[in-house]
Amino acid sequence: MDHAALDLQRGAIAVLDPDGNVTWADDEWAAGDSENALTRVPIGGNLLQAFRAQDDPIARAVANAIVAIFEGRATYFEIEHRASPESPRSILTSIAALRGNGAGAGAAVIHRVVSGHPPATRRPQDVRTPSGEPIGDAMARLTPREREVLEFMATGLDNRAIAAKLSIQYSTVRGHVRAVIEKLGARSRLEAVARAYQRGLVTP
Amino acid sequence: MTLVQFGKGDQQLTAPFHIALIHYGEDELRQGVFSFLEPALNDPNQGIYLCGPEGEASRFLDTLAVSAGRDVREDVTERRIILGHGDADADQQLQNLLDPLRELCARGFSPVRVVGPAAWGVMGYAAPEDFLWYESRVLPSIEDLDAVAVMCTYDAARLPARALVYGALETHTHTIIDGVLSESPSFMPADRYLKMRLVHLPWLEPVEETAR
Repeated sequence: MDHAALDLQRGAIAVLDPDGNVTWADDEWAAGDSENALTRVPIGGNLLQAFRAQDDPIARAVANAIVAIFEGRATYFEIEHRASPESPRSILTSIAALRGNGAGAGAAVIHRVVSGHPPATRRPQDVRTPSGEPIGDAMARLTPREREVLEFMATGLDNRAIAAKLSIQYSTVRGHVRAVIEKLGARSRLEAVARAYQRGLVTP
Repeated sequence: MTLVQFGKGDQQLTAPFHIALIHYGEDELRQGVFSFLEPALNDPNQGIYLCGPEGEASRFLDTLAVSAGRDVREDVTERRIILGHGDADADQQLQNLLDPLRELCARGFSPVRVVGPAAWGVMGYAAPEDFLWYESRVLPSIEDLDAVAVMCTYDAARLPARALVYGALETHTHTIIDGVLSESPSFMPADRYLKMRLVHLPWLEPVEETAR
């Protein structure tokens, strides 16, 4: 599992590992307490269906997030406090309840539910993409047009404004922005800009 | 330029504007939003756009209808009241906001009042840093729509402090706290916000790998 891909905000975090498991981590784990704070959830169709069927927006959001990970639209997701600071706990409780309702033997394994303090930060020393590729190398894989779009993104422009600047279609700009985000291994528009900015590759 | 009155007291601002209602829980939300929208609910010349995570606008409209004591479905059918939703792509979310506002303005509604809740780390919504970028782009994006009044709602009972500080205080020119409208001394124009805040957000900064 790529631990470096974990974000560091407070709340529940889930990461898809190479074996196809979603690993839940909480603040205590992220703070470096122990592997015991990990909760491994092998994903199966029954689990997803059960999540979706629940009258619980958080459970449905989790299901959507898991699908997004499998479809490659996300590498991890996090859930911050929503209804209450107990949200991460309630999610894991939901998983446990699913097991009890026969949602699928072995579909979910709950080791432990822990709440804790905001995690300590841990990120690679150099700016790298989640795959471990240095950001400079990732930048080199951008096409000239994608690089141009990134430079406009770094000035804060939205896609429609970028399309006007470059005299190209809005949908084309959207495609370029998605490619930039993906190639830089970022999870968001701003993270792509920040990564490039941190290396002095663009100037906001 | 359009002077926009608020429902209670003599509070008013000149549109276009982008303000944050900082509330604690659902009751304060209802009171604050109803106070802002009440003049438009009862005036067929005014437009309303409600947005937020999927289903949120519809749910909120039901609450408003109860507060207003009348059925508002016809207003929705006639698109005097438009319901929208956010998007995981912050740019798309911005377009989702601007398209109906341009439509309402083009049809002559004035003012056009907008209410949308801040969503932080919610699936189906933009990542927090992109949400902040979206917030910072709202005001420059509506500067040519002089009848538009945007209110974003921030629930202090649910959102982390960084959402309130970076979002509510730094991307809105004014805030309403406990019903009182005041200028936000922390507001930063979009360009400055990008350079001073967005690219330096703590969770986007590289830090040293620590041994476990």
